[in-house]
Parts: sequence; structure tokens; C-alpha cells
Amino acid sequence: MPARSTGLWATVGVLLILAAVPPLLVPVYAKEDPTLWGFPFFFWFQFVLVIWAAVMTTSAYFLAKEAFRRDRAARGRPWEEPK
Amino acid sequence: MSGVAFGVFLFLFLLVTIMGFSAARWRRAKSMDNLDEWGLGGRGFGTFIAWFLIGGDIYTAYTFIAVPATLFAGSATGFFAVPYTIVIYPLVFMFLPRLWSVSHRHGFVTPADFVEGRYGSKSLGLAIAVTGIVATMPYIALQLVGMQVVLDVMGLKSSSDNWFLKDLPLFVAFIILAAYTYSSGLRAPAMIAFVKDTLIYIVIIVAVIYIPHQLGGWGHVFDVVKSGFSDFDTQNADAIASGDAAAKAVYPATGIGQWAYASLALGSALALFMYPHSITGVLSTRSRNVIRRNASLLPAYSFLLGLLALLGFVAVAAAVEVGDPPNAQLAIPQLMEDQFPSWFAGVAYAAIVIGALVPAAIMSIAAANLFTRNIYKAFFRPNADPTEEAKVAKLVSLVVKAGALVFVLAMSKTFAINLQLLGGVWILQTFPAIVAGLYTRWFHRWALLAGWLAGMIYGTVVAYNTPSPTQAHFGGSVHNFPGTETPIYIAVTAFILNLVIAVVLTVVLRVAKVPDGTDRTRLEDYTADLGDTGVEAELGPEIPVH
Repeated sequence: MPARSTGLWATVGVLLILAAVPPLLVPVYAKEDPTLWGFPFFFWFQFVLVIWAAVMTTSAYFLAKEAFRRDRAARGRPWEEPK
Repeated sequence: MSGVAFGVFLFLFLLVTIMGFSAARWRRAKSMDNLDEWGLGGRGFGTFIAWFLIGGDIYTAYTFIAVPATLFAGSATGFFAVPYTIVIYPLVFMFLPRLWSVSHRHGFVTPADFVEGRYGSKSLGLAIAVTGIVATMPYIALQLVGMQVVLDVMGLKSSSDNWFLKDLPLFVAFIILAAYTYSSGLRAPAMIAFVKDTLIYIVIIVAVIYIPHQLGGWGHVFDVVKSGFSDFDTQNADAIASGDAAAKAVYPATGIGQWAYASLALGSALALFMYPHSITGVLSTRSRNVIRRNASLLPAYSFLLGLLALLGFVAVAAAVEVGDPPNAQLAIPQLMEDQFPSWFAGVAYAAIVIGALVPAAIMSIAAANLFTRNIYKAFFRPNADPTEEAKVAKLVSLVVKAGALVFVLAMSKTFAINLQLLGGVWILQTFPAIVAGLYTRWFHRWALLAGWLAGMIYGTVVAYNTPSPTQAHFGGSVHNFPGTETPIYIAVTAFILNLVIAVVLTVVLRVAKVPDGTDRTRLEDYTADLGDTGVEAELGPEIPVH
């Protein structure tokens, strides 16, 4: 019996939510202070969110690849990443 | 403008022209006479090319002009482009691999192909196709507006009153674009996108370091902007109170502004990958995995876009002159003209103009694919073979571009901008049919069609009735959510209406046992990848065309 993928997919989902939801919580970051190198918080925080989201989706990418591989193996259609 | 700037500009423009034409030979296929080759570049692009192509799709010349222009004009809401392009990628990650798989299995070229195959409904496919085409047309027109703005600042606009002579440079650029898109198909923008983004990256990185440094640093830029905006608000307090002028702010400080900001980001993110040109970019990739890998790499562009948006504030601090009456869209090109040495200004102009060519090419190809597959073939020539499809699509790509050109020259620029605003509202209405369809066949085809129609009509009427201090109609993207005083993005309200109708009618139609269409897809089609049955056949440049 190949390894299950449920836990992996759930983690992928959580990572994607962590990437997509914070930018929508505008009241949290719509403020002036603290400033960074002259940038109001509102601006620099959104730049940080870009990097944060990239880290989340990149982690999700690796987990999803493994989960997809397991799903395919479980259904008798083995999959390796195409070159 | 100096001769040096023009020389650099011309050199770069000629370079991409040569690349555009020679792209036909790149990753050469046995034959270009089918839509998989002409319209999707052979469906063989890997991570690297796809990154540039999809990036070139989303971050267009108009974005580069319009986003900083809103900040320049005093509305920080324009910065929503950043959260918007953050929210996009988790969405891409989730549903586009499924669309890729099912499209490869069945040879779908457009999102409307998928909807037709999934729901067995040509009318629903037609609705998706028509929405895609009408939403894309003004988008292409705006690329031309972006180009026109740069040519203006370069001083290439002659003083002639003749409508043709006045915009001769625009015509020349456009005819060249049309010619190589015709001959090379999607390979042309894919190849040029590489140059475009390299130039854009260099220009923006230099701009955000060099120009604020000249002006006394970012801290100084923000200080000047803040005091300038609050002076404006004090002087115009009466006009603002009566709604005759809009208050300026560095960031959305009130709950009202924040709702608008968040709903614009969310609505635009949901809409973006419904645009036919974004889907064209995604379907041209070689394997399923390329999409997810790109979803984790594309945020690099969001970072860039944020920096670029802030150049709008830099232009305020630099006291850039944008004519009388003021045209905020001139702010960025004019800032570059004022601040950069002339040779580098030439690079910057070229970056923006080439930045218009790439998306304009992809958009016209996407619109042509839609027309050919979901209107021409679906309703007029069901037996059209791949050669005929390619021939029609190539011609339509010319018509679409010519149409966009007439649009820009014959009608007012405001009209194109209004339609682009509507385009975003319209395209989001195709979301339920496409995205829900990737996961479930629960929705009834007629319910989806009714929801789509309701969303389209509602969104159009509301957008038309939205005033601003300067215009009576199409005054903005947000309206008060029904029954509240909270402004949110019109597209989102229309989308909610669309979804509610689709759900309610599905229940009704299922109870009434109204016949549903045949689903040509199967469950495993949604996870198929390169190498599976039926998937390899269309892939790779070396594989003979069927």
C-alpha cells in the first residue's frame, strides 16, 4: 500500500491559505509606523508579504509534487517529473 | 528628446523585430498550420520560457504606466496591484494544473473549449468565448495607449493635424507587431518576452535606486508626498466634502478605503486567470509541473511591480510636469525623461514599448483562438481541419489588432479605459463555469449561463452608474455594496450575484429534471501529465504534427 497523501494535501492547502489571506487583511497593515528606511509600514510590509507568499508557495510546490506522485502510484499510474 | 535616446530606442526595437520574425524557426515544428503550434507555441515551453511568457502577460506596459499614475494622482488604492499579484499565485497553484491536464487530454486550446466539452453546451462555450474576446479587446487597446504615451514623451508625435501622420510611429510599430505575430504565432512574444523583462528589470531597479537618491532618498520622497497630499486636502476641504474632488492619501487609512483595497485585490486576482491570454500562456507549458513551479517563481514580478508603483510618488517628489490639463499617465515616462541620462532614457522607452508588444501579441492570439474554435468552428464550420483553423486564427489576429488600433485612434482614450474597467467585471463572470467545472459537474449548464448573464448585466449597469468627481459614468471600479455604505469592487458584487443565481437555479433545474449536457471529460483527465495516453501526442517541437 503506497503512502497516503491526505496529510500532504492538507498541508499544501494550509500553506496556500497562509500565502493568500494576509494581503487581504488590509486593516492589519494600513498604518504609518514603524517605518523602515523611510518607507511607511503600509508599503514595506506588503513587500515582506510578497517574499512570505513566495516561500509559502514554493514549499507548497514541493509537497504537492510528492502528494501527486503518491496519488498516482496509488491509482496504478506511476509518475515521475517529466524532464 | 535627444538623438542618443532615439538611437538606443531604435536599436532595441529593431532587435526585437528581428527576434519576432526569426521566432518562427525557433523550436521548429514540422508544420505551423495548426493551433497547437501557432496558437500555443507547440505546447512545449519549460519553466524558464513560461516564466517570462506568463510574466509578460500579466505585467503589461499599461500596468507600468497606469499603476504608478494612480499613486501620482494621489490615490494609494492603486497599490492594490501588489496584494492582487500576491493572491493570484496560490489560486494558479490550485486550479490551473487541472485545466492544463484536461486541456491536453482533449486538445482544448481555449477556456471556452473546456467549458463546451465539460458541459456539452455550445451556448455556454459561446458565452465564455464572447466574454473573453470583448474583455481582451480594450486590454489590447490600452497597450497601445501605453505605447502612445511613451512615443509622446519621446517627442515622436508630429504636430500635424492629420490623424494618420500624427500617430505614424504607432502605426509602424503596430504593423511590425501584426506581421510577426501572423507569421510566428505565440513563439514571437515568448522569445521577445525575454528581452522585454530583462530591460524592464534593469530599468526599474536602476530607477528605484538612482532617482530617489538624486532626490534625497526614499524618506524624503515620502515626506514630500505626505505634506503635498495633506496641503491639497486642506486647500480643497470644501470640494472634497461636497464630492467635487477626491481626497489624496498615502495609504488607505479608513475602513472604507480598506474594503475597496482588499476587494479590488481579491476580485482582480480571481479574474486574471480567466482572461484568455493568461490561459494561453499556461496551456503553452510543457508539463503540469511547470505551472506550479512558476506559481512559486512569479512573485518576483510582484516585488518589481510594487517598486514601480512607488515611482508614482517619486514623480510627485520630483515635481514632474504632466501637461495642462494634467495627464497622470505621462508621469513615469516624463520622470525618466527628466532624470535619466539620455541613453538610459532610450532604454527605458524601449522597455515600455516592447512591454506593450508582448502582451498585445499574446492577447490577439488568445482572442483569435477563441473566435476560431468557439465561434467559427463551433457554429459555422464544424468540419474545419487544423490547417483551416490556423488560417482563420491568423487572419483574426490581424483583425483584432486593427480593431484595437481604430479604438485608440478614433475614440477617446477614456473610452478604452472605461471598457478595460468593464472587461475586468465581465471576465470574472466566467469564473463559476470554468473553475467550478474543474472540480465538479454539480452546476447545471443553464444555471451557469443564467448566472453569467445576470452578473454581466448587473456589473455593466452598476459600472455605468458610478460617478466620479470628473465624470458622470464609469467613474471608478468600486460601488457601495447593496444595503451598505461600504464600497467594494463592482466585479465582486456581480460575481456574488452570479454565483447565487447559478446555485439556486441548479437546484431548481435538477429538481425539475431538465436534461443536462454530456460531459466528455473523465475524472482521471484532470490529473493527466506528460507521457500519459493522449497527452504526449501534441507535445514537443520534434513530434510530427497529427
